[in-house]
Amino acid sequence: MKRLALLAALPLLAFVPAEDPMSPEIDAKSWSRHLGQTPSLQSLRGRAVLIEAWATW
Amino acid sequence: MVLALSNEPASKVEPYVEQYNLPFPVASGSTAGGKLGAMVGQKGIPHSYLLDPEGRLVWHGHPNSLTKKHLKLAMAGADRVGPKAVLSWRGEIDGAPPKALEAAADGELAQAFKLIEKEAGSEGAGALDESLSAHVADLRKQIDLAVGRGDFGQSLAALESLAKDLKRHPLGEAILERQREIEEDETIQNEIEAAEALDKALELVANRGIKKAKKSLQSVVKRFPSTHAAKRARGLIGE
Repeated sequence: MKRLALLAALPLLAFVPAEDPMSPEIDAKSWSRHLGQTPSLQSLRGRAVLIEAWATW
Repeated sequence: MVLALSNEPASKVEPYVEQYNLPFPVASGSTAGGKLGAMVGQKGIPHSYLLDPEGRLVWHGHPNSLTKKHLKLAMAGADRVGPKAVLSWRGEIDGAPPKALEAAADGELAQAFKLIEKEAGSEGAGALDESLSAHVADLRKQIDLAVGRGDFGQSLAALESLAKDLKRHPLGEAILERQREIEEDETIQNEIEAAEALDKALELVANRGIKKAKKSLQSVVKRFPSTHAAKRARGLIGE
């Protein structure tokens, strides 16, 4: 019974959640409506960032 | 911090930003949205991506599916953001005094300049001094642009923070002078009053809808006819 339980647990033991991937750098040809240092991963370190990918159409 | 990224050119994005008076930074000609999409196999827009304080992607989805729980998780361990956040400068400069870099990242620009002065003559200190001076010049330019388009809330708060921080630094003189100019400029003061009246009307719009708020919006147009606020109010009423 114990052996069965161990075998059943193997897939769970093998599962390692992948680390959340690093975002690509935040780039722009120009910025509107921003105050402060140009937004980048470095300038925004220490803050949670919500990025909206959008278009005018 | 909210950022809107579009890969379209500024000529398309900026009129849209102006028309809808978007209250957060908007990027034109950005590839980051597409790259984030490629990372997670997402092709359509709009799509939201949430980064934690280390810049790691911790959630993505349609904007309507973002919840307070997601935000709370992403914000765990984030720095507290105060009025000096807008003054913050982060960068890597070889040989720059580490404590000066720390002060600059905290928005303590006067303190950073003071620490740089202690190591005057070192290449790193000189480079950091240049970067921070350029940063202050940039901030002043951004504030002036915001004031010019009638966007007073954040810009005047930023000017106040900058003036307070640099009051004993040579760069502070010009900033205090600009504050005085704004206080004495009747046109700008009229615009500020109009903006405040519009803010109250917009609260009504948010709480009770445009029909109920129409009188307040019309009052803004009547009292402050040639202001940015009146233009926005007219747009909302449909005049």
